[in-house]
Amino acid sequence: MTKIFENITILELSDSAGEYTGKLFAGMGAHVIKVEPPKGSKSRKVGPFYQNIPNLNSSLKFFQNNINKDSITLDITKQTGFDIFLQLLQSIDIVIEDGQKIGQENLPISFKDIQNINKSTILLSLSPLGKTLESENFSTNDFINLAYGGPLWSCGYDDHTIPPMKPYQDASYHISGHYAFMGAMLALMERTKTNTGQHIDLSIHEACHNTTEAAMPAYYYNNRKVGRLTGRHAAPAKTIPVVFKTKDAKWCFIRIPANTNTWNKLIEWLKENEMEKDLGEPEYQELSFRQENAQHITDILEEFCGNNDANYLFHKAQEIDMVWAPVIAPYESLTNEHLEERKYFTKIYHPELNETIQYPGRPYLFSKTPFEITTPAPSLGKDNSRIYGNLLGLTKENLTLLKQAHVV
Amino acid sequence: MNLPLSDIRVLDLTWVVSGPQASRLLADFGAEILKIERPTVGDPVRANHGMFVYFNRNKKAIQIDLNDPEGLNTFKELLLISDVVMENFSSGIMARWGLDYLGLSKINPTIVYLSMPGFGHDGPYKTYQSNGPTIQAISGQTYICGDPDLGPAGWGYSYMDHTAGYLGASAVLQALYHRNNTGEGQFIDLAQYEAATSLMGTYLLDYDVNGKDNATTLNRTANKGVNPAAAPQGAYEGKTPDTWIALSITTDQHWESLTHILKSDVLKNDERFKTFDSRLDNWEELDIEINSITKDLDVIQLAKQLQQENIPASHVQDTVTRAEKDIHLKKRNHITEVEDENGRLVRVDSLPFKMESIPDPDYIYAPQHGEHNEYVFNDILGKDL
Repeated sequence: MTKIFENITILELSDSAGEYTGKLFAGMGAHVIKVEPPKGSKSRKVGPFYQNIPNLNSSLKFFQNNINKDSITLDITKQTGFDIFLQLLQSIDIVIEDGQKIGQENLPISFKDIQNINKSTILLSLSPLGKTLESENFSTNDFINLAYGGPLWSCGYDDHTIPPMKPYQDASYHISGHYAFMGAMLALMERTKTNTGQHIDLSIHEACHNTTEAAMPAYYYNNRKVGRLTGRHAAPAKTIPVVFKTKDAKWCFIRIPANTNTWNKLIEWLKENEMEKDLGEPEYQELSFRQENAQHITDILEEFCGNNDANYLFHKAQEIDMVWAPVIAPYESLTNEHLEERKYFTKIYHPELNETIQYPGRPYLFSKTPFEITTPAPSLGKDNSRIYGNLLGLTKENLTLLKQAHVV
Repeated sequence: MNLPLSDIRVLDLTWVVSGPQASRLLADFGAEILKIERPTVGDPVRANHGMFVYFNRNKKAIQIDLNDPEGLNTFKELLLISDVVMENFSSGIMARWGLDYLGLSKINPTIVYLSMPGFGHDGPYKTYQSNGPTIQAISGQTYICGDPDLGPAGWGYSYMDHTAGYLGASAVLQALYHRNNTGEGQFIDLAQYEAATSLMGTYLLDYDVNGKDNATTLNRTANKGVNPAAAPQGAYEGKTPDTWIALSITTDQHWESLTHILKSDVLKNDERFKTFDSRLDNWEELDIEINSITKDLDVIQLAKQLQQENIPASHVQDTVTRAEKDIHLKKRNHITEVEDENGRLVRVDSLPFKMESIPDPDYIYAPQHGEHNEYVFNDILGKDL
């Protein structure tokens, strides 16, 4: 199969959001070379770890974000290392950096300097506030990005004495990684017209701010402030609950159908279970009446959920065109029949572990240029010999000397 | 203004949020987006004016009834002079009109077709329906957020509508890049369930290789921050009701700075909090202790103090503080203004990245239902309306 990025080579100096962007490129065929300090990227030290044993080659988070990539080590804070880095740039299409601290410095080269070496190179910078505000020295991580950017404000419970709740791990890196990927794509497309690269300056804070759905429109256009609501959209006023416990001690997301045909199918289903109560009365045929009595309807549906298993509710509801779904743990997807039939998961052999691990696959399915997972995340410096040999012509002896000098 | 996609035309059949998010990004990048709605009824999100404006700026709106043979022919005429078709219907809807990829590519072989159903175009759930919360629920994102004692809190909005939109726009950009290089169009099946699951990989791997039913544990600790190791990490209440300071301590140096700023002898001297490991072990007591101090403090001031010591910290910003007081958004002119249909200026958010040689787009207010019928049908297709 053709790969969209088979002719694209990327240097990735990243250990958070940029890693995810690099993964999106790597899955579509780009040659992504991870440039790491000799002691390894910070992301290698983040858990959970394979068999719960931390070491530089066992981070499962690192595994997930670095499929299909190569790893070289290089200390670019040393002059020799920096010189090697400049040589590498000559054949590079994109440099991704997310403020990874290498020694005490961020990427010690400006975009202008990069262009002097290779004018078609694209520099993609992901930083907490944007490069133009780098002097602000804003200290952050995934959790703080979400707090400052706005997503955290919307997530939590009706009871506002309970703190806002953080969504899944790395959400802010995914949000900004997606935008960074789009910026890089635009630069690649522009480069085909001009043969010139450019610098993309992405603010993680702005990306998070742009990802809170109705929160900003509610304020911008209606001067209203949203507040947290358990299991449902944050809103200016309280709404009806939509997540209920099921008989099998799980949870189910439900929605009262607005469409009257679908409503009638729901009533038939409730009747089969002797749960329709007064909902079959003619006045419920009017949407406005259903809306006025939403709490009463919801009370009945809550009881209905409590009498049935989550999966039964899901499939039966979907049969009658309702968007209900079980609220289940992430790992339950590993055995999901739908994903299995669509061959969603990819098994990858890790030679250093002598084990095959199952990875969640593509974010999208292209008919002619599919996203593929072909190799596991690299162990630290795994590709030094090949990359330095192929790109720079360095010999084994050269590398030994560089290693002795702690450059690689 | 010459934006990167200024030579691209998109037939946009998307509705509600996820699809319009994708096409709005393409519009921001310069593509001509023809938002196609039924003549009798438009995108249901038009009922929520603010949301509609937010997700449909920079687009052109036209009315076509695809159930009417004449409307279908008009669509096919446009298809011949377009680059992209995109929709977020459930699987099978487009095929009813003969507009699945096979049908579309017979008319325009280089067309890029993005389809964004909840569950994709094959597999046992292919006809299932979804919205953002459906996908968040079944992928584990709802479950993972919250306190296990209180049940799932989940995302407080349709995060996956944004995310599917981001991935949808990214997919179109890639397919166009490929088409420009090879002349080959293609079909993209963006199953939102798969897109959501691809973001949950670390949790899945932890279960797969460690057998760790970690979801519930992480649900509790995600807000407490033991993975990656941080203690304390959390959102602690401030002096004003429903104000919160989020902070994250991963080093002894930051811990010392925090105890100094909070002026707490208990935090400094209590054996339970002496070492990083002991703070991790006693995080619940630690949270209570910190909360007892922060509840008397102004969280914005506290955030400033903590940042001065390089401690990752922020007040949990609500919409009003983001819109009115966020100095970082202001310094980069992130929130800008457009003129609405009555000539009033209303606010919109810019793209979160700046490019060296591509200017920010001019933002144009979302279109009225059918506002560009005349332009498209008369000026482009040469029909007499």
